[in-house]
Amino acid sequence: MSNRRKFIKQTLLSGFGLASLNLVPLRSFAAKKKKYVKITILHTNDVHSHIEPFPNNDPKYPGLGGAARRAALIQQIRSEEQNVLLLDAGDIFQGTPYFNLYNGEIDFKLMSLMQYDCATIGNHDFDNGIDGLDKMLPLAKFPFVNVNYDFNNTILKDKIHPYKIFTKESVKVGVFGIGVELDGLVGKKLYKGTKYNEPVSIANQTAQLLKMDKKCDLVICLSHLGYKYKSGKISDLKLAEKTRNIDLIIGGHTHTFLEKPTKIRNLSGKNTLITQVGWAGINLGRLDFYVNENQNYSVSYQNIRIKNKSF
Amino acid sequence: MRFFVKYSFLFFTILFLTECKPPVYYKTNDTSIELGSAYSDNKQATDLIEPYKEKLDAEMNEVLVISAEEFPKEKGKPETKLSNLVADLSLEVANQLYQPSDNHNIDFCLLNFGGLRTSLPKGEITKGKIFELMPFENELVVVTISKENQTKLIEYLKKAGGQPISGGLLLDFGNEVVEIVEDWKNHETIKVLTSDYLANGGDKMNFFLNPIKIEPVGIKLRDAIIQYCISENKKGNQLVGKLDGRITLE
Repeated sequence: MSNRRKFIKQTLLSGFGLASLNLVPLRSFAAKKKKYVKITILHTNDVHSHIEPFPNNDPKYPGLGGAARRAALIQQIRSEEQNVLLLDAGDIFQGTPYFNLYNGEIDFKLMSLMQYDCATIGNHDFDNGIDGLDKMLPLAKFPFVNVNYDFNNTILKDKIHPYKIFTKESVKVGVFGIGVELDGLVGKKLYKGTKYNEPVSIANQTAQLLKMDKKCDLVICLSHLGYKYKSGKISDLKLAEKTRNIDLIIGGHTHTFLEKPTKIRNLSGKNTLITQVGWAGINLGRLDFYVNENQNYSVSYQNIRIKNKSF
Repeated sequence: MRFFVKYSFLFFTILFLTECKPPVYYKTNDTSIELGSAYSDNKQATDLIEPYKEKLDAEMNEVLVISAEEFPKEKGKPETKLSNLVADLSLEVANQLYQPSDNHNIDFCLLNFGGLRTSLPKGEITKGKIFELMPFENELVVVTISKENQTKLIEYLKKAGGQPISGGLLLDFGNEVVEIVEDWKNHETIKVLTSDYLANGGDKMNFFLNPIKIEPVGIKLRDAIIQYCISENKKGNQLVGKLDGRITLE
């Protein structure tokens, strides 16, 4: 422990440090000092009804993924960690016959069993129409957040939250959701009266509200915008650059397998992390935030591949 | 331990300073952890899945055809074996069903890469795999568009770096050569087979908006694929890939 403290001190003094170390010392340091609260964020995106693992003859992802294995992994992490938040960045629906036959019923039941804390809505979650989503919503024992779709003229009015605040020990975590432009991506007859609003200003307002007024230590954006585009289309990279007060963007839509979070300097010159774990429940993302009293934190990241091969 | 987790010991720390104090630092574990074989599935979850899976398997495990090779879902290529297969078979199936009121047959098929959702493996192709490839309930439609929109369509294909199209036309954007079938040249309009999703401007195919005519073929794209697989199997054929340079960029 003292070595660990010394290491931090030295690296702080030198200003920039690069070294090998393990997770364990930091964990015990945090626990014994009681100076940090550890918040474990687990995340998925674009699971696309991949209830079962990919078959062993799949050309790209043989034997990977599977909801039951993900559930076991999450259960294991919950048994080890105090403060777990399990989040999803949308496109839960569509992609295997489980959706064609059961319309999202099993997806929401499994996510409820895994005790997801919060999710946002992806474009494919409209694939059975906004009515199809509404019909399945009671099966989801967790809230959905989105702040840039106006559902006031739809059946989802008052059923989707702009944000949710989770308090873990003394740490407040604000989670809000941002959705992709639906026009050209989803048929109008499916999303009906849903109005898409430009995300940057709304994200900024919401993040400021959460950070300043609601005193959240961490502000997380569940985004279904997509990681990046060649065109000028709004993406997670652009959103991070153009906003303040967002600590972490958990992305989706582009099915991007990021090996580690991308660090972007935001409008305030602070860092916003962006993460995304591909699709189909192949990976589970894990970020451990060690938050101190001054809203400062360190983060460690793990990309957990859900694999069934002996090695 | 109920399962073992393989940790890679390649950890590194990046530390940097910001204006405020004390500084924030990030530690990144740059490698993934793989769950081992001793890992067991969550019992509650498998129990929940079981009845759904049984009913689904009964329907979806039907083998439709044998594939002689893999048809991988690939990004960044103007044509792939998978895109050529689906566009060609869609045209073939639609031609059997579509009866033009004006003696003008379908000129070609245009779909989108984004709509082909997974790879096809070598070997047995099940009904379930076709549902994964084409999960959407999209209908095949024939869209009649003007010559002006035809130009926009070709410009779109160049800009998009290709999309699934049926054979019989040659788009060589590197040498600015666009060869189209004779029938197409002889008509004032062209007839494009596509999905109702794209016909409504999906994937920014705006040249389909305000068409001269839209006619449903009367079959879903997925059902067309299933029907083709069954029929090839009956003929004793396997699925074979084809790359013929129908779209080239350089």
